[in-house]
Formats: sequence, C-alpha cells, structure tokens
Amino acid sequence: MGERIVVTSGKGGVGKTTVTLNIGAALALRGKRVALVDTDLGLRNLDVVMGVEDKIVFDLVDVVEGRCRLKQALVQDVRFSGRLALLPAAQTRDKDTVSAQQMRQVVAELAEQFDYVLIDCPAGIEQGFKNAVAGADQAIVVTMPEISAVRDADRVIGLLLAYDIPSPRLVVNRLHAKLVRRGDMMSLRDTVEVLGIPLLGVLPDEDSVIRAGNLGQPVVLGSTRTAQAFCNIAARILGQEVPLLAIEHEPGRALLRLLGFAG
Amino acid sequence: MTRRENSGFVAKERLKCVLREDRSQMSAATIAAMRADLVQVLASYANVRDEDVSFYLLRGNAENETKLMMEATVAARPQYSR
Repeated sequence: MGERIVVTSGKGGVGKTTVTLNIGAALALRGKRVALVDTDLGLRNLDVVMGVEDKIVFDLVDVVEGRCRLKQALVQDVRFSGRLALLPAAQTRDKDTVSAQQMRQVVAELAEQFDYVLIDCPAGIEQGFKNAVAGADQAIVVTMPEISAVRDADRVIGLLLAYDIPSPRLVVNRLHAKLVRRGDMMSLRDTVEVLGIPLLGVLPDEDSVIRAGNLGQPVVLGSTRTAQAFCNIAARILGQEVPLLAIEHEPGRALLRLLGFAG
Repeated sequence: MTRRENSGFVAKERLKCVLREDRSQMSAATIAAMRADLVQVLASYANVRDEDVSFYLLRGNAENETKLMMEATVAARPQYSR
C-alpha cells in the first residue's frame, strides 16, 4: 500500500501545484511509482504546469461517475519512464461533484498501484479541501514567509489535526535571501517557529520556476537550486537525512558578479 | 534620517498575536479580560503581579486540539498585608 500525501496551504498562490508536481517528479526520478491527483475541480492546473494538458481524455469525475476505469484516466508522463502519472481534475464541474467518500476510494485504489499518491488540494478550507484531505494519511503544508500565507497555513494545520492527520510537515516556498538579509522577510527559522511543525524543506524564490511552468516542464528536470531543493525533499520523504539548502546565507548575485562568477 | 523598521520582525510579532486569537478562537479582548480576572484571583492568594503571568499556546498533538496555556510565576517577594 502506497503512502497517500495531501499537499495543502489554505491560501492560494503559494505554490501547492508546483510543489506537488516536483516532489512527485523527484520521487519518480528516485525510482518510485508516483500518482498525482488534481482535486481542484473547475480550476485544474496541475496538467498545464506538468505540460500534459493535451493528453487528457478522462478525468477524476469520469472515474467517480463510472464513465471510465481509473487506469484509462491516468495520464502517463513519458519523461519519467512511466513512473509518474496524473489523474486530472474535471475542468467543467464544481467542487461538490465528488464526495469525500468517493475521493477516499479513488485514492485507495491508486495507493494499491503506486508507491506514492500526492494529492494537490485546492485553495480554501471548504468542500474541495475536505475531499482532498479525506483520502490522505499524511500532509505537506506549503507556505511562504509572508504574514497572510503563514496565518492560513496555521489554520490548515489546525484543521488537519481535526481530520486525523496528526503530524503534517512544512515546506517553505519562495524564501527570498536578499529580503531576509535586509530584515524585510521573515526568516526560515521564524516561519518554522511560528507554525511549530517539522520542516520538510525550503525552496528559494527563483525565476526558473516561472520559466519551467511556462514550458510545462517539471523544475526537477533542470539543474537549478530549486531542482536540488526538490530532490532533497524527496530524499527526506524516503527517510534520508539531507541538510537544508543554506538559502539565506548564499552570496548575492552582485557579489558573485564582482568576483567574476556570474553574468 | 530615521532607521527603517525591520518589517520581517514586525510580521512575526503581528502573526503571534493573530495566531493566538485564531488558535484559541477567542478575541484579543476576551483573552485580556480572562487574564485580568485570573491575575486578580491569583493576587488574592499570592504575591503575583500582572507581569508575572503569561499566556501562550501549545498545539496538542494527541488530543487534536490547541491548548491555551497560562504560566504564572509566584514571585518570592514579601507578601503584602491584606
């Protein structure tokens, strides 16, 4: 039976979809079989960020309503030799189309065939959140070192406890080294301290993520710091101890340029 | 020129206040009133001043709930006569 992990944040726009895709892709690169589930009915996005939007035939709602078998709805990503698959959300239906019980069944069925099922949760804490959480036995909470994102993450952590997911792990996304150094962004340490849950990983604020999204390519296929950070997170999920990227202490680009290391 | 405020620090301090309310589902005013009442009760038994009492929140894992904790330092000062 595979592990069933929901990726959630409360607030929208903090990077849930990117994090879901790239943790999944990094686990696939490590040889694990991974299924990604987009539960954002009506606002699906995992397919475009992944770059497989033109391969979709059936979706989550088709599976739930019995129009196709689960296997038929799964979109395989050829770049990961069949180890990464997506169950897309329906784009034309709303969040109430699927019940928590139906979600639980779909995720359980996926967990029989895959080592990891990563569930991309919609923003908010309404029915879509409840559905996404229903099938999971673990959670990753994504936040940014920003007051609104941290507040919403805290709320979600409280709700996860109520849904019997007792030890969610934290991913801090878009940590901006320069802002932290000049005191205009909460540090990684502050963010983790305020939320009080174990840290799974930290991601730098890097342009490469936008570019990868534009191209529909998982970040982990490149060789950026963010790619490295995602691989570290995957390693930690697999139980390895990997030191955190020292994002806040890396030399700024201006200094590197001065020393002749960067253009 | 005045020194620019460290906005990351301000954010953290503001968050602490907001989260105390969010987690306890009590307003800042309610927490302040409860605290004042408790200090008054404690003060009738021991030498406790307002600054000796602090409130903080613990996220309980086992019971799936957040706990509002109160810590009162009963200072070893001479008892005032009542």
